[in-house]
Amino acid sequence: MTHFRLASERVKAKCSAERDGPGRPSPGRRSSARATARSRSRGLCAALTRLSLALGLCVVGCGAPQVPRSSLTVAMALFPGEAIVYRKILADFESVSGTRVQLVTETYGDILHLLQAESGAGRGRFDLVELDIATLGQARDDVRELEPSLLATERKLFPAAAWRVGVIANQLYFVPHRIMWQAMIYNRLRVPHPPADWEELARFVRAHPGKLAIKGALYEGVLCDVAPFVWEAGGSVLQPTSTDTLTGLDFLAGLAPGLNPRSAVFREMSVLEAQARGEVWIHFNWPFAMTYLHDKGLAPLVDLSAPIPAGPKGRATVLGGGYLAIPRSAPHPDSAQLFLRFLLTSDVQQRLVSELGWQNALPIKRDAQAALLYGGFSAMRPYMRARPTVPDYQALSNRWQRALAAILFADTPAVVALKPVTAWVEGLPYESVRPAS
Amino acid sequence: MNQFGRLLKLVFLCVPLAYLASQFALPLVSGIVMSFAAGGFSLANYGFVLHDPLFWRAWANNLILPALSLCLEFVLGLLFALLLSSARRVSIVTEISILLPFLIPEIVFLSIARYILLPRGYLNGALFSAGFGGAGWLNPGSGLALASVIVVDAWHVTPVVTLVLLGGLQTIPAELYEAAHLDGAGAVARLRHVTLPFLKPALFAALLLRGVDALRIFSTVLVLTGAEGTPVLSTYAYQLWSDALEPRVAMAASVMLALLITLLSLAVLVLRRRAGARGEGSWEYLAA
Repeated sequence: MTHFRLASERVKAKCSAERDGPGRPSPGRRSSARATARSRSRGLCAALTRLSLALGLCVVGCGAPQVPRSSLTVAMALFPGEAIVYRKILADFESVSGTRVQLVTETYGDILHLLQAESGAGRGRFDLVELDIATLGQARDDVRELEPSLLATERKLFPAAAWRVGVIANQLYFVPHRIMWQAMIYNRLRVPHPPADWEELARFVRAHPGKLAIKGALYEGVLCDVAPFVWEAGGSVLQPTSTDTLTGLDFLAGLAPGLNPRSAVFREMSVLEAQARGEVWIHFNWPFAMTYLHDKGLAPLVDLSAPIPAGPKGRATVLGGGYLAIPRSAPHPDSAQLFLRFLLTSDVQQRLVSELGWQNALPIKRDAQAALLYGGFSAMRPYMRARPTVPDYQALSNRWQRALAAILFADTPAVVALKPVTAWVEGLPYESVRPAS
Repeated sequence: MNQFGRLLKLVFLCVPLAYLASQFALPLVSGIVMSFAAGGFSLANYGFVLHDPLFWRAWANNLILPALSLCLEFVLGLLFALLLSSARRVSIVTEISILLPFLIPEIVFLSIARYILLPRGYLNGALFSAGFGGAGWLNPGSGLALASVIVVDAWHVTPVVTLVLLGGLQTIPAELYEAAHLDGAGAVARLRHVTLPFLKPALFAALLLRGVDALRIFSTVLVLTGAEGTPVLSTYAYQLWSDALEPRVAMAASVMLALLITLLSLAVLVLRRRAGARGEGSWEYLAA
């Protein structure tokens, strides 16, 4: 207002200065000059008003985003196609609860970084985040403890192993959002009877050198392929030089000369492509492999899934997937808890399975074709095991992977290659080293 | 110059400098600082890198691969440049065939090369059809995989060398060739005593341009053999940063790659300056 007054006064002063100037105008000219001054004054006022409004809007716009009280911001690692379907499920929650849900899709790595950043800042925007199962130990200090009642009521939806991953020091921090596990993918035309145990697998490798592949690329996949063999021998990732662990590793080292030569660089997709091209007849992978092969017209005609061959102490497969947690800095933790309860209902889980094709663990209603495609995965459901929830799983995993590369592809004795892993595990606090299952 | 002109000059100087500082100098300095960070100032990241056998494989490949690739590129590049600049008419198909690998987007070109070289790829298919056995062109850690990467890399960038040398060839006056011809010089003698000495500036330019680029080789290795198949320093650092989530160690490896590139580039520049000081490749040198 002061601005307006000053401006209009300035205009008035200018007009009066003109009036009292040396060349006195005629009365007619005087009135027209006055009208011009008045219109200029009005124009100036309007311009100043617009400018003030714009500045005000800028100030409001530059400030922190104003989130209504009844809103929820969730960060999930969804593909664009998944996000479209997921938003429909969110819309159902919005209509039931009256809470608006804003979905932010990011990668698991970025979600972990933003969780840590918000936790460090002491305040944040996200009410719920989805984290990779491998990073739960790392994220534990940045998330809230969840109500134990959540675990009690929704227990039946997921297997006990999947729930146990979210419980650290007897407190529930994470709940499963989507879980998956590995199975064996095999070429049914070339391998009519897929190997059922270690002995049959070793026989297959001897008979068909180069046709078994593992995902041996550093820092991706190799531990997921090797850990089941360690577990099937009765060993543990946290006891690298125990006799049982070494039994599992020795078995794999024995297979190594007969593995596909490109195993050292295979990743989830590249090994799958090799399977599709027929270069590889057997490998281990996640459920998406069957979807990929089916879309290419290869499954179930050529490729199928089967259980991972059993070892001396039974079967095992590795659990993967995403878990949900409420950040410590969440602005609306109660609404987030409500949303969690909504997600963990049978109806919503069934929708996630049927509409998104997730492999969640509740009894899945499938048609005959899907049952055939995912038969190996269904058979492995009771044997899924989680990786250890140590504070820095990435560090453990990296050390294991370097050791495995040396054992499998550089003929290094397991005991020698595993020394850095042993040293790292010995440095862990006692309470961190707990059995994986 | 008036005050406004001086001010404008200052603005034109400061804005690019600020841009360079924010986009280049600051990330560089923070990267170097990061490479020494491991719970305080430490050489632990460099220690890790130096004790990793994969790093030494990557280091060796980072010297062998560009050196052999450059040799191949320069031989082929010179041949193509001579062919294109010769008086003889060259068909448009030949011209396009020479330049096409560089015109295709890199990822498309490398994917094509990969499909050719895969165990069940086009090359092995052709070999089988001709009655020969196939070969593991991309088998990790093998000499054949290294050779495949060298050939594909050379195939991809030879057009750049060709174009630079073609530009150099067109600056050599035709009178020199005529004079040499009248003096009884044959084709080889003309190449040795006229073409190559006058092509030296272009050769140095191409060597510097392609040499630095070859040392930074990344996508060819990653697409063809994977980061561990034929490791080089850039894929080694990338893997540590992206897959192992060890950014500080990755930065230490990157700093070592940057050092290697800087030292080798300086060596080429010094060689060029010395050659320039002797007057090689100039009219005066030839006259002497």
